[in-house]
Amino acid sequence: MMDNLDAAKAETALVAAVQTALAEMVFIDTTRTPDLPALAQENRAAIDILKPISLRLEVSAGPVLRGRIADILYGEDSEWNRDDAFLELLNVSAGIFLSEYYGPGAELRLELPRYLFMKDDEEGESVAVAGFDAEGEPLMAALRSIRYRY
Amino acid sequence: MAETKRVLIVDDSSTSRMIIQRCVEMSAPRYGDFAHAENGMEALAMLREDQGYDLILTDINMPKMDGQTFVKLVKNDKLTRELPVIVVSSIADSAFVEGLLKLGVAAVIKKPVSPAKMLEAIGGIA
Repeated sequence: MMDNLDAAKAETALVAAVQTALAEMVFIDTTRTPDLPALAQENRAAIDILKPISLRLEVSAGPVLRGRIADILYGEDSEWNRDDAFLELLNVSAGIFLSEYYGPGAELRLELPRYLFMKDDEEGESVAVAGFDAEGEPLMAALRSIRYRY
Repeated sequence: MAETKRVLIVDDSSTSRMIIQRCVEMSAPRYGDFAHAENGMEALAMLREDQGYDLILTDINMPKMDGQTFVKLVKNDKLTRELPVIVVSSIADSAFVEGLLKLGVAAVIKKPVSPAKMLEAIGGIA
């Protein structure tokens, strides 16, 4: 399945997607870091891409950054909406990634975004991974191949 | 004073519903009365109970009933087929947009939504 995927192009599209989503949704600037941040498992969210290729996009961020994202979007009601705000950011990132990688014309299909609370035994190989500094807070994004089971 | 128009926003993400509502408030103040539904099934039930909505803004990727099924049902029902529908989705490839326009959707906005994109989409509604 990964034979058709250009890993370097996918990595470029992944970085652009995460940076654009954060900038346009919550006005947070990100710079790519040479190292990957160590983030706890419970801070990882994922969305599966079903078409035109089976791929999982994961984004991990600590509670401070997730709280800041919700604060910017919601103001005083942010506490209750922190988890949903981060999932919506991931959803938007996936849409931008697909546009960046495939351009217009490809048939696209996404699953619903969700948190990964435990390590998934069926996780496939890593296709691309990138670490970021999001105005002082760590952030990580990854693409992983997945097997699809309808 | 002009009557405030009513909008039904359909999206499983509360964050997305809030952002969409804010963009409408900023770009088209004549739309000032908002109701929210978390999926197409809930939205259909609301539309059957209340025929007073002026505009539907819907996501596509939702649990229980996705946006495409919801739009088809809205456009096939004589009570709701004249209601303008704008799709707000994270995916908006050309084949997908073409299919939605054929169903009778007024416009498709690709997320992240902004007041400018909303203004352009709502401006196209008669």
